[in-house]
Amino acid sequence: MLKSWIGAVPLYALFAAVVGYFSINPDYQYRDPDEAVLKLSVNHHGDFKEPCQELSPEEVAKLPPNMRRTRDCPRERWPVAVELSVDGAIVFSEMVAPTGLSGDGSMYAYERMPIPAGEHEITFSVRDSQAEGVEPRVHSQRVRLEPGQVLVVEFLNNAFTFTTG
Amino acid sequence: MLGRAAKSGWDRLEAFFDAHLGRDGNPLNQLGALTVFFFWVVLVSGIYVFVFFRTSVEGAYDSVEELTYGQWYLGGVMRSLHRYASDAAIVTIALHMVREFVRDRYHGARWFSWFTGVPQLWLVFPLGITGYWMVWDQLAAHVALVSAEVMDWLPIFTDPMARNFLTNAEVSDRFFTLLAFVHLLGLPMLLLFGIWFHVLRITQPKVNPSRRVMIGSLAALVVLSFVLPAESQGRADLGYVPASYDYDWFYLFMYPLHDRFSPGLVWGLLFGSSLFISMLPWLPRRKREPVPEVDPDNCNGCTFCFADCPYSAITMVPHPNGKPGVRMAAVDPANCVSCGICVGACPSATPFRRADTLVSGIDFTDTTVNDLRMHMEKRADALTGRPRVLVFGCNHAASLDGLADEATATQQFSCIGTLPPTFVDYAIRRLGVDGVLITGCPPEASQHRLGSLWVEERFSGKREPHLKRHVPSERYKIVWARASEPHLVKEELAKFREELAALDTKDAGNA
Repeated sequence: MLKSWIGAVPLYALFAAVVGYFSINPDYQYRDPDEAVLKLSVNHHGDFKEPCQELSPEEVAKLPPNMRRTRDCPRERWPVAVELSVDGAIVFSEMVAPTGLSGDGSMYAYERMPIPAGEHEITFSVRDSQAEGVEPRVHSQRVRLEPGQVLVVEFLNNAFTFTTG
Repeated sequence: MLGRAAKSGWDRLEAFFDAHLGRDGNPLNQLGALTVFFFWVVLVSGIYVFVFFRTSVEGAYDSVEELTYGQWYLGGVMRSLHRYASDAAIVTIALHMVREFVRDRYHGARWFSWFTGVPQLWLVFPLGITGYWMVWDQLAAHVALVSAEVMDWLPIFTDPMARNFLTNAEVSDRFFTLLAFVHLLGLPMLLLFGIWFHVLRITQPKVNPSRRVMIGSLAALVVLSFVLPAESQGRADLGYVPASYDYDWFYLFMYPLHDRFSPGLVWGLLFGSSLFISMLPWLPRRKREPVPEVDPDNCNGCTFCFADCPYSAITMVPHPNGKPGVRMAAVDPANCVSCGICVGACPSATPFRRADTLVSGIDFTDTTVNDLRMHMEKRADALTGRPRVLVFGCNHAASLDGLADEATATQQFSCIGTLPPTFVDYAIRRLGVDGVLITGCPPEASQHRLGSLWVEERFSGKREPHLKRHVPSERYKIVWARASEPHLVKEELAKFREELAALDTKDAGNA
């Protein structure tokens, strides 16, 4: 009995060593030492694809009484073009479709990417509509990032915000 | 070929552990039960930690730090035990799966336990991962963010989850209330239900390891908790990302794949491997063994086979003779693994019966108990040396090859539990052999779960059908030996022969 307990010690020690070692080792190198992190986030409604149209009295009369309205507004929205560039180089460019079965919901974009630490010119643009003549909203800002620092560039409630940790 | 080598290698590993820890103390013989034990350790230590845990952004980190350093001798140890028992469970789960696979115990009627084990993995990993969130240190922030990004790849969320972890301002106290619910109640409850489902189709599942294994493994984890206490990695700050993390590779091994490649790869590997493992029982293989059949004329409804079947493949049904209250056994082929333990349990499978053709209440259709009796008689008759010994063995345990000679005959079964005890009685009293050696897998590592245990109990009179007391105990011997331990059988047989020879000399002297 005692012999088997003594025999057990090295085997249980080995088991504990394996559990203990892989519980925290080896280190996971998540980023390069001279890198910072850039997070992009957008929550926005694109423009409606078609403008509202005034209904004629005849058209209104044709509608059921409980659904009569003077304007017809199609719900579908444009995809929103989101573009992010760092020091003139585009690092994110996507046409993001609206959510919802009818394509009438908000659009969301999220991306996390590494960025070298140091000073950068960040340009963030959001274009609400793909219709001709619609200019994107653009925001540019110069930022200085320390290694490991997180920069969040966000477009929310029709406003750009740049937040550094 | 590869499968046989893996099985042999695993058997040798278990034999090595047997030699150093004893069979009862060998954790490899009870990996499923040991995993359940770790679950209880995790539960108890987790409840203790939660008593002091504060479900808020600031409180989560602070309370765990206070526990780790302010109460290092108990709270800190409990926290460490909580982590290390969770990690140890991953080790035992992986070994449990490997063991069942290499021992070929995952297909046929055993598909159910194998298949229902896979969803458990989908509960165990989120349980461990959400535990890492709760500490709300830098690793927690990383795990939360990456988990959210991985989830966002699935087309189920309109608003990306990861947007909840943009800055520190996004994380609220309610997040920890939700986490506490998922980690402490939702997932553990589902896991308990899953464990019940996992063992549903096996009789007398072993859900508790032996006391020695419990003490040994708990002591190892407690010592580890003192030597290497679990610590947090700095307060979570979503505005700063450390260059590296102390990573728990047992739970977080998939996360670097997401960072280096894509969440699609992570999901592909998770779904692909789960599907592959789940489908293993249905991969083409050799033809399955025949299933025993019940002979209503010879089944008196004693329920011995019903009680002994390790896989709940036997039910008792009304007897076709229509007599009220009379029942008989019925075999469900879907649950049957063709171990033959029911054949050994049938009291009508006695070779003493006078009928020319021995027909048992439940029997195989290819090799019947009548065939076994004939083979035994033929082999016993052919023995010319002294002392005459019959060796009964099992196909999954130590091979009997090379044991047969002019004084030794061998006979193998699909499981040693197939051997009706009356065969030993018959061999000694009717066929006049000097001794019978019975060998099979050790009860702790029986290929067919309870086969060897039932043999021990039948021969010691604790279980029906038992070996009659008038059979002299010095005339038979039970030797448990794994497939990798044929030398044990050889050595024990040599000793047994000497004992029998001495016995015969003594008997001759008395005469």
